[in-house]
Amino acid sequence: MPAYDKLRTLAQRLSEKTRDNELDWEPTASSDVYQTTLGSYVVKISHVERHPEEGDLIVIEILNGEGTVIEKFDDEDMATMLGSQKQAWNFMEELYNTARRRALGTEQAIDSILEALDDDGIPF
Amino acid sequence: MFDWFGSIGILVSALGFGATLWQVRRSRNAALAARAAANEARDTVRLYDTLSDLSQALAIMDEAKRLNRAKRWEVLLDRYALAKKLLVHMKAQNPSLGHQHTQAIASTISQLGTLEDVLEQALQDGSDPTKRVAHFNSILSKQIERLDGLLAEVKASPDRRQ
Repeated sequence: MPAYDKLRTLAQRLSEKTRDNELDWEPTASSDVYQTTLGSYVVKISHVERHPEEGDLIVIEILNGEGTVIEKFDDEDMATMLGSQKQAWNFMEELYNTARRRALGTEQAIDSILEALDDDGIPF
Repeated sequence: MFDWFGSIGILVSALGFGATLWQVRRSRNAALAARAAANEARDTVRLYDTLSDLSQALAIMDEAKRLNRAKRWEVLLDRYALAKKLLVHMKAQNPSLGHQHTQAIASTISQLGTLEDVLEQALQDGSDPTKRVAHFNSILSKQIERLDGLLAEVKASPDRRQ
Protein backbone atom coordinates (compact mmCIF):
# COMPACT_ATOMS: atom_id res chain seq x y z
CA MET A 1 0.00 0.00 0.00
CA PRO A 2 1.68 3.22 -1.14
CA ALA A 3 0.10 5.36 1.61
CA TYR A 4 1.51 2.99 4.27
CA ASP A 5 4.89 3.05 2.53
CA LYS A 6 4.93 6.82 2.76
CA LEU A 7 3.91 6.82 6.40
CA ARG A 8 6.61 4.28 7.24
CA THR A 9 9.18 6.42 5.42
CA LEU A 10 7.90 9.47 7.27
CA ALA A 11 8.19 7.74 10.64
CA GLN A 12 11.70 6.54 9.82
CA ARG A 13 12.81 10.01 8.69
CA LEU A 14 11.33 11.56 11.83
CA SER A 15 13.20 9.02 13.91
CA GLU A 16 16.53 9.68 12.14
CA LYS A 17 16.18 13.46 12.30
CA THR A 18 15.13 13.32 15.95
CA ARG A 19 18.10 11.11 16.85
CA ASP A 20 20.42 13.50 14.96
CA ASN A 21 18.93 16.42 16.89
CA GLU A 22 17.72 18.11 13.70
CA LEU A 23 14.11 18.54 14.80
CA ASP A 24 12.93 21.03 17.40
CA TRP A 25 10.42 19.09 19.47
CA GLU A 26 8.52 21.11 22.02
CA PRO A 27 6.23 20.31 24.94
CA THR A 28 2.51 20.99 24.62
CA ALA A 29 -0.26 21.59 27.15
CA SER A 30 -0.68 17.83 27.37
CA SER A 31 2.09 16.13 29.33
CA ASP A 32 2.09 13.15 26.96
CA VAL A 33 2.14 15.08 23.69
CA TYR A 34 5.11 16.69 21.94
CA GLN A 35 5.17 18.56 18.66
CA THR A 36 7.55 19.70 15.97
CA THR A 37 6.84 22.07 13.08
CA LEU A 38 7.95 21.33 9.54
CA GLY A 39 7.10 24.15 7.14
CA SER A 40 3.44 24.91 7.65
CA TYR A 41 2.69 21.44 9.05
CA VAL A 42 2.92 20.25 12.62
CA VAL A 43 3.75 16.70 13.65
CA LYS A 44 2.56 15.58 17.08
CA ILE A 45 3.57 12.44 18.88
CA SER A 46 1.62 11.22 21.87
CA HIS A 47 1.58 8.38 24.34
CA VAL A 48 -2.01 7.29 24.87
CA GLU A 49 -2.68 5.26 28.00
CA ARG A 50 -5.31 2.55 27.64
CA HIS A 51 -6.61 -0.33 29.68
CA PRO A 52 -3.80 -2.79 30.50
CA GLU A 53 -5.35 -5.56 28.40
CA GLU A 54 -5.42 -3.27 25.35
CA GLY A 55 -1.91 -1.90 25.76
CA ASP A 56 -0.84 1.73 25.34
CA LEU A 57 -0.56 3.41 21.97
CA ILE A 58 2.02 5.75 20.48
CA VAL A 59 0.23 8.01 18.01
CA ILE A 60 1.64 10.32 15.34
CA GLU A 61 -0.59 13.05 13.94
CA ILE A 62 0.02 15.48 11.10
CA LEU A 63 -1.78 18.82 11.33
CA ASN A 64 -2.19 21.36 8.55
CA GLY A 65 -1.69 25.10 8.96
CA GLU A 66 -5.19 25.48 10.37
CA GLY A 67 -4.54 22.97 13.13
CA THR A 68 -6.69 20.26 11.56
CA VAL A 69 -5.49 16.66 11.82
CA ILE A 70 -4.96 15.49 8.24
CA GLU A 71 -3.24 12.18 8.98
CA LYS A 72 -2.95 9.94 11.99
CA PHE A 73 -1.31 6.59 12.59
CA ASP A 74 -0.15 4.59 15.60
CA ASP A 75 2.08 1.68 16.49
CA GLU A 76 -0.65 -0.78 15.49
CA ASP A 77 -0.65 0.70 11.97
CA MET A 78 3.14 0.58 12.04
CA ALA A 79 2.90 -3.13 12.89
CA THR A 80 1.02 -3.61 9.61
CA MET A 81 3.80 -1.69 7.84
CA LEU A 82 6.69 -3.42 9.59
CA GLY A 83 5.12 -6.84 9.97
CA SER A 84 5.74 -7.14 13.71
CA GLN A 85 3.82 -5.61 16.62
CA LYS A 86 6.82 -5.76 18.96
CA GLN A 87 9.16 -4.17 16.42
CA ALA A 88 6.57 -1.44 15.70
CA TRP A 89 6.06 -0.69 19.40
CA ASN A 90 9.81 -0.53 20.07
CA PHE A 91 10.33 1.76 17.10
CA MET A 92 7.50 4.15 18.04
CA GLU A 93 8.35 4.11 21.73
CA GLU A 94 11.97 5.01 20.99
CA LEU A 95 10.83 7.85 18.73
CA TYR A 96 8.45 9.10 21.43
CA ASN A 97 11.08 8.94 24.16
CA THR A 98 13.70 10.67 22.03
CA ALA A 99 11.24 13.42 21.05
CA ARG A 100 10.30 13.82 24.70
CA ARG A 101 13.93 14.10 25.80
CA ARG A 102 14.60 16.70 23.06
CA ALA A 103 11.50 18.69 24.01
CA LEU A 104 12.34 18.73 27.70
CA GLY A 105 16.04 19.37 27.17
CA THR A 106 16.98 16.20 29.05
CA GLU A 107 20.25 15.72 27.15
CA GLN A 108 21.48 19.22 28.01
CA ALA A 109 20.47 18.72 31.63
CA ILE A 110 22.39 15.44 31.88
CA ASP A 111 25.42 16.95 30.09
CA SER A 112 25.34 19.89 32.45
CA ILE A 113 25.08 17.64 35.53
CA LEU A 114 27.89 15.41 34.25
CA GLU A 115 30.03 18.49 33.66
CA ALA A 116 29.32 19.68 37.19
CA LEU A 117 30.14 16.23 38.57
CA ASP A 118 33.41 16.18 36.63
CA ASP A 119 34.32 19.60 37.96
CA ASP A 120 37.21 19.29 40.41
CA GLY A 121 35.77 22.16 42.41
CA ILE A 122 33.05 19.96 43.88
CA PRO A 123 34.12 19.08 47.39
CA PHE A 124 33.67 15.28 47.40
CA MET B 1 5.07 67.86 -60.61
CA PHE B 2 5.61 67.50 -56.88
CA ASP B 3 2.41 66.54 -55.07
CA TRP B 4 2.41 68.97 -52.16
CA PHE B 5 -1.01 67.98 -50.99
CA GLY B 6 -0.10 64.29 -50.99
CA SER B 7 3.14 64.93 -49.07
CA ILE B 8 1.44 67.12 -46.51
CA GLY B 9 -1.22 64.44 -46.13
CA ILE B 10 1.44 61.79 -45.47
CA LEU B 11 3.20 64.09 -42.99
CA VAL B 12 -0.05 64.83 -41.16
CA SER B 13 -0.87 61.11 -41.07
CA ALA B 14 2.60 60.32 -39.68
CA LEU B 15 2.24 63.04 -37.03
CA GLY B 16 -1.22 61.76 -36.16
CA PHE B 17 0.09 58.22 -35.87
CA GLY B 18 2.93 59.45 -33.64
CA ALA B 19 0.49 61.37 -31.48
CA THR B 20 -1.69 58.27 -31.18
CA LEU B 21 1.31 56.16 -30.17
CA TRP B 22 2.27 58.79 -27.60
CA GLN B 23 -1.29 58.80 -26.21
CA VAL B 24 -1.36 55.01 -26.06
CA ARG B 25 1.96 54.95 -24.25
CA ARG B 26 0.77 57.62 -21.83
CA SER B 27 -2.46 55.73 -21.17
CA ARG B 28 -0.50 52.50 -20.64
CA ASN B 29 1.84 54.23 -18.17
CA ALA B 30 -1.17 55.73 -16.40
CA ALA B 31 -2.81 52.29 -16.23
CA LEU B 32 0.39 50.74 -14.89
CA ALA B 33 0.73 53.52 -12.33
CA ALA B 34 -2.90 53.03 -11.30
CA ARG B 35 -2.36 49.29 -10.95
CA ALA B 36 0.81 49.85 -8.88
CA ALA B 37 -1.07 52.29 -6.66
CA ALA B 38 -3.92 49.80 -6.26
CA ASN B 39 -1.45 47.02 -5.38
CA GLU B 40 0.28 49.28 -2.90
CA ALA B 41 -3.04 50.22 -1.31
CA ARG B 42 -4.04 46.54 -1.13
CA ASP B 43 -0.68 45.63 0.45
CA THR B 44 -1.10 48.44 2.98
CA VAL B 45 -4.60 47.24 3.90
CA ARG B 46 -3.28 43.67 4.17
CA LEU B 47 -0.42 44.83 6.37
CA TYR B 48 -2.84 46.62 8.68
CA ASP B 49 -5.03 43.50 8.76
CA THR B 50 -1.99 41.37 9.58
CA LEU B 51 -0.86 43.70 12.33
CA SER B 52 -4.39 43.87 13.69
CA ASP B 53 -4.88 40.05 13.69
CA LEU B 54 -1.49 39.44 15.24
CA SER B 55 -1.89 42.13 17.90
CA GLN B 56 -5.36 40.87 18.79
CA ALA B 57 -4.15 37.26 18.99
CA LEU B 58 -1.31 38.34 21.28
CA ALA B 59 -3.65 40.36 23.50
CA ILE B 60 -6.01 37.37 23.77
CA MET B 61 -3.14 35.02 24.66
CA ASP B 62 -2.00 37.46 27.35
CA GLU B 63 -5.56 37.59 28.65
CA ALA B 64 -5.68 33.77 28.57
CA LYS B 65 -2.84 33.66 31.10
CA ARG B 66 -4.85 35.84 33.46
CA LEU B 67 -8.00 33.78 32.83
CA ASN B 68 -6.03 30.62 33.63
CA ARG B 69 -5.00 32.07 36.99
CA ALA B 70 -8.60 33.19 37.61
CA LYS B 71 -9.86 29.67 36.66
CA ARG B 72 -12.27 31.08 34.07
CA TRP B 73 -12.24 27.85 32.07
CA GLU B 74 -15.31 28.35 29.87
CA VAL B 75 -14.18 31.85 28.84
CA LEU B 76 -10.72 30.45 28.15
CA LEU B 77 -12.08 27.93 25.66
CA ASP B 78 -13.61 30.80 23.67
CA ARG B 79 -10.38 32.80 23.85
CA TYR B 80 -8.24 29.93 22.57
CA ALA B 81 -10.64 29.40 19.67
CA LEU B 82 -10.66 33.11 18.83
CA ALA B 83 -6.86 33.46 18.95
CA LYS B 84 -6.55 30.42 16.70
CA LYS B 85 -9.10 31.86 14.26
CA LEU B 86 -7.22 35.17 14.05
CA LEU B 87 -3.92 33.40 13.36
CA VAL B 88 -5.48 31.16 10.71
CA HIS B 89 -6.99 34.24 9.06
CA MET B 90 -3.68 36.08 9.21
CA LYS B 91 -1.87 33.13 7.66
CA ALA B 92 -4.45 32.82 4.88
CA GLN B 93 -4.11 36.54 4.12
CA ASN B 94 -0.34 36.24 3.81
CA PRO B 95 0.44 33.20 1.67
CA SER B 96 3.93 34.52 0.98
CA LEU B 97 4.99 34.65 4.62
CA GLY B 98 8.59 33.60 5.20
CA HIS B 99 9.46 30.07 6.30
CA GLN B 100 10.21 30.99 9.92
CA HIS B 101 7.05 33.03 10.28
CA THR B 102 4.92 30.27 8.76
CA GLN B 103 6.45 27.80 11.20
CA ALA B 104 5.90 30.10 14.17
CA ILE B 105 2.23 30.59 13.33
CA ALA B 106 1.59 26.90 12.57
CA SER B 107 3.23 25.94 15.85
CA THR B 108 1.16 28.44 17.85
CA ILE B 109 -2.09 27.39 16.16
CA SER B 110 -1.33 23.78 17.07
CA GLN B 111 -0.37 24.68 20.66
CA LEU B 112 -3.60 26.63 21.10
CA GLY B 113 -5.50 23.64 19.73
CA THR B 114 -3.88 21.34 22.30
CA LEU B 115 -4.58 23.82 25.11
CA GLU B 116 -8.21 23.87 24.02
CA ASP B 117 -8.42 20.05 23.78
CA VAL B 118 -6.78 19.47 27.16
CA LEU B 119 -9.02 21.98 28.89
CA GLU B 120 -12.14 20.68 27.17
CA GLN B 121 -11.24 17.12 28.17
CA ALA B 122 -10.58 18.14 31.78
CA LEU B 123 -13.96 19.89 31.97
CA GLN B 124 -15.72 16.86 30.49
CA ASP B 125 -13.97 14.50 32.92
CA GLY B 126 -14.81 16.80 35.80
CA SER B 127 -11.13 17.08 36.75
CA ASP B 128 -9.73 20.33 38.07
CA PRO B 129 -7.20 21.90 35.65
CA THR B 130 -5.88 24.24 38.38
CA LYS B 131 -2.74 22.24 39.10
CA ARG B 132 -1.71 22.55 35.45
CA VAL B 133 -2.14 26.32 35.17
CA ALA B 134 1.59 26.97 35.51
CA HIS B 135 2.32 24.59 32.64
CA PHE B 136 -0.46 26.05 30.46
CA ASN B 137 0.88 29.55 31.06
CA SER B 138 4.44 28.53 30.30
CA ILE B 139 3.26 27.16 26.93
CA LEU B 140 1.36 30.41 26.30
CA SER B 141 4.35 32.55 27.31
CA LYS B 142 6.61 30.76 24.86
CA GLN B 143 4.13 31.26 22.03
CA ILE B 144 3.62 34.93 22.97
CA GLU B 145 7.38 35.48 22.91
CA ARG B 146 7.60 33.85 19.48
CA LEU B 147 4.73 35.89 18.01
CA ASP B 148 6.02 39.10 19.63
CA GLY B 149 9.20 38.65 17.60
CA LEU B 150 7.14 38.15 14.47
CA LEU B 151 5.04 41.25 15.20
CA ALA B 152 8.18 43.34 15.71
CA GLU B 153 9.57 42.15 12.39
CA VAL B 154 6.36 42.84 10.49
CA LYS B 155 6.14 46.31 12.04
CA ALA B 156 9.77 47.13 11.35
CA SER B 157 9.87 46.03 7.75
CA PRO B 158 6.76 45.10 5.78
CA ASP B 159 8.97 43.82 2.95
CA ARG B 160 10.27 41.04 5.20
CA ARG B 161 6.91 39.38 5.00
CA GLN B 162 7.81 38.32 1.46
